[in-house]
Amino acid sequence: MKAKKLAAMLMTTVLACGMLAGCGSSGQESSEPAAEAPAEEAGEASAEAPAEGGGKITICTWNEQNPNDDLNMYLQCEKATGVDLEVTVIPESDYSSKLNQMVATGDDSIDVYIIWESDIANFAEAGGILPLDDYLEGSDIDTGDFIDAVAKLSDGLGATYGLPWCAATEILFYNQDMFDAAGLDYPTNDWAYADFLAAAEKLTQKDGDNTSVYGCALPNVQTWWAGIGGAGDQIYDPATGQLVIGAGAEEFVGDCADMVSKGIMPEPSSDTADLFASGKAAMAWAGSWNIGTYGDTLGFNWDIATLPTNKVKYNTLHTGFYTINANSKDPENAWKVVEYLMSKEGQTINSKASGNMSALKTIAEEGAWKVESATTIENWDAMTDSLAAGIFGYTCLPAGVTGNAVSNFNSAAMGQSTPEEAVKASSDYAAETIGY
Amino acid sequence: MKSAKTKKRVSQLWLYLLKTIVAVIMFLPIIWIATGGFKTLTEFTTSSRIIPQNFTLENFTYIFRSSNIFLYVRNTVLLMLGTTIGTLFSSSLVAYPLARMEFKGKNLIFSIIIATMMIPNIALIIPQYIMFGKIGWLDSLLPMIIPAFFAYPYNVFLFRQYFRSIPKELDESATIDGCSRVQIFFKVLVPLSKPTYATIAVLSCVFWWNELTQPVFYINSDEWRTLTMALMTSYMYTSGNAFVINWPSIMAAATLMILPPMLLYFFGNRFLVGGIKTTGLKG
Amino acid sequence: MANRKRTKTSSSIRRKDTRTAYAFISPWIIGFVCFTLFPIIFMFRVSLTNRKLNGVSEFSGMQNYVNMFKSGIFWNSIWVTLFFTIVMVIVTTIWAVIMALLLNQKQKLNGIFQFCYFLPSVIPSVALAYAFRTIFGKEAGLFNAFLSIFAGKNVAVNWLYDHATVYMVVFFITLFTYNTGQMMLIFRSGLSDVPMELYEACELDGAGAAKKFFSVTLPMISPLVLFNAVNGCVSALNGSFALLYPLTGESGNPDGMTQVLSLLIYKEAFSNMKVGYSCALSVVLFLIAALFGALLFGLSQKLVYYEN
Repeated sequence: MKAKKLAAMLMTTVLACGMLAGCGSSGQESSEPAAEAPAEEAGEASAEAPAEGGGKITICTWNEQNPNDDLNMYLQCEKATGVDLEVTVIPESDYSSKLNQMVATGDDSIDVYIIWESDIANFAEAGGILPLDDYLEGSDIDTGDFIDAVAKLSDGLGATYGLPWCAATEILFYNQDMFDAAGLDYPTNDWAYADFLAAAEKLTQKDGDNTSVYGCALPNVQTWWAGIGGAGDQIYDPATGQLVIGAGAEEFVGDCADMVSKGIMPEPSSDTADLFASGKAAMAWAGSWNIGTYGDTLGFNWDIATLPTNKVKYNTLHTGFYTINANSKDPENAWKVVEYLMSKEGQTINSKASGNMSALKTIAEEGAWKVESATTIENWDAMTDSLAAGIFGYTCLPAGVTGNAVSNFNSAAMGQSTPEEAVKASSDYAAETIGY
Repeated sequence: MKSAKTKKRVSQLWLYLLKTIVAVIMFLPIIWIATGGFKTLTEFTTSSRIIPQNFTLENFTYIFRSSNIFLYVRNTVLLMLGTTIGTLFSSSLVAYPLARMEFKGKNLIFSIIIATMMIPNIALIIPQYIMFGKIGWLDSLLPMIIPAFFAYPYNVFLFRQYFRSIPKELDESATIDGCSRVQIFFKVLVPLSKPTYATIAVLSCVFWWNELTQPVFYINSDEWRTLTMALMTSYMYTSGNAFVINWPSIMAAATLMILPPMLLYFFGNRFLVGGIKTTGLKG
Repeated sequence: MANRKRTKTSSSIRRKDTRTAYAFISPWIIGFVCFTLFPIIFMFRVSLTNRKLNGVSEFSGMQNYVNMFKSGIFWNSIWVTLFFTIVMVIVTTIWAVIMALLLNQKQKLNGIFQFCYFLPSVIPSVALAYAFRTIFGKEAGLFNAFLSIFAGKNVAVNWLYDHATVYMVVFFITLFTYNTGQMMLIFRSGLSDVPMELYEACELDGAGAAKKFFSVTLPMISPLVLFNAVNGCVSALNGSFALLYPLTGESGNPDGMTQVLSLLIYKEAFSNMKVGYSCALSVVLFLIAALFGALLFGLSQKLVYYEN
């Protein structure tokens, strides 16, 4: 009798476990069609039968897909290769962290990762991504054609693990209407930092004590580093992997704090908004990919220039590398996808959609990155000039370190601490964290 | 006489005023969220009016047309159902002997259950994360659903309290009728405790519908994102630019997320309100 | 029970009962061992290594703890955690009592009022956090616009970034959390149990509303206040992540003023990939929770004694 009851109880437990397993697996099955739905829909809309059949490949990136089918490189890739391509978007704020987790756990749900500068060496070392040399041999991609900075970053890994998806830079965006109204000359690519400071002050419009139009938007988490680099700091030391900031950072942070206190620059705020796009800031330092985002949607005339030159001409170069997950179940098709995205067609669509250049020099020269909808831009040279000055900098540091530093810079900008304190706190935290 | 009456009326009016002020304060964020979903991004970031000036449905069309909203809803519902079924089943089983049987080590076990109630989940989440990573459960709902099938201390505690309030004579007469403990549990206790099950089910559903912490730690890909996570990821940024927060889109998605708890309040008020009261009181 | 035991006098029944009981309890035992006990032991072990997010790990002894105790960010976080937890509990308890007192005054439309008071607590904390980030925004925030009407000029306070106002706003937002709504309902039912005669007696003495509250209501609901307060500590430790992560970010802006331990744990593990260090932080959080837990346990024992 007792045994029977015990057995009954055990059965219940086992049953419970069974239910669980059933629950988990059925969930997995039912998920597939749902996840695919949007891509499929879009594919049907363009009503073009895919080329010869292929498997299903998942790629992950941090940007939403372009809403325009012709500019959606993933959709075009599906059409051209016949590989069913699914895009997983992980926001930039936890992109690196989530990818690290996936590589650490040997996750196989993603076939093609676009990996950041700071991670590629770690992932290659950990065996999380495949060396691509064998595939490259039989393909048209010319690795000798990459821009120098990219080629340099790939050196020292012992093999080619990733192919750069683009080469993005940081530039100055300005509102031409506001420059006209203030009677100022437009910024040029050899603008000095002092010119920028003077213009920012003149462009500021006050309404009593409050600013109605700021001279320049606050640097964002990326362009803080461009300002600091321009003021002469090294930022990232490849030899030690450390954050190296000092006098330059103190100067630039100090300048920003000064502008914030005068109402020329806005304070950091919890309701983060793009003040340039909404016409509340005359200038902004931001990534070149904003060109693609703005297109013709801004209600005013605007143009671009290189970031003003302080002690050195500096901006952070941004890229990411197409890599193939070592655990991918279908590396052949994954390679097909990467090959298409690196091809002239893939790179051209990407440039047209985002405004970012190709890291392949011969493709970049053709100028597909001159976004057609951005009709008010004339100074396209700003892009090539910026690219020439672009350096891999803060992007090679851990996100927690740079995030912490930007928090410190922001509070210094608000006058809650001095620039010296902010720089010291950031360096201390970096030292505490890197080399752990 | 008259003055006393008017005095009373005046104080009643003051009371109404006070209640209304508190109600406005408490309800304001919900109104802000609900109207925010109908604004354009430019309006949202430049004007502080509550009523949208340029009424737009673009945020909702974006959510339904271009995002994986149904996938997120499915994930959230799966999570909600999985954990709720699991905890109802396992927690009530565990609570039964604690409430209605005498056995060796009962006090010890009950003390441990009480003690584990006090450990915040967040303190153990990193080791659990490593552990689930080793079993290969990361990036799925399993790290949240499976533990539910092994009894949540808090729910065990609640079930125990309810079971204790049911007269023991019922058990005894059932035993005389030849029922085993298992039969007593399923044939006597479970039917009698239906409202308890409903209450705990409602509380569990509300909790998991709103849960952010565990999904943030355990889920990586879009495929298993829950609605709370989607709010922080899929709906947060404008396309092509990861630094411009798309507030109206967040507000629109949040509006949709508020609806189910609101409906639950209307239709399951009894369980929601009654449940919380009793859960706290019996402590 | 005791009766039956004595009449049947059979230890075999008891032994049988014990076995059945353990069979019933087995899910919890398995769960406890796998999902609580093992992680606790594992956490202590990992805290002695320099484990990284990608799983590479080496024994490093007490190094994590040494680094932790040297770190200004850690001590700041401890302070913020204790401050946040205790103040949040005080603020939300008071607010819950106020709402419960208001609702306890029987009037028409009470149903609608209760709906308005309670609903915010069942909506996701992420949604709340985002709503308040914009309500308390500097440029186009609702609250600044509201103040501007009264001030007669443009008010532009940077509520969530200003050292002077950030705590005020954060604690204001905690009034809308699940915990507050829950406490309000508990107080409501507690208040309705207070016998009317006590109030009447008090009224005869000519006492005002304030006197009535302090001499009748408060003493009558004091066990509930105590219970809620300590219970709130545990849920504040647990729930702060879901509120603060979307509200002020993993660095706890401004200047780490809102960086509670759970945010630091997340940041160290996932942004800096220092899992071992993160486990050392978890150990500290665990100990803090144990402290609060012991307090609650002691109190509830006492309260149960009261009831009997």
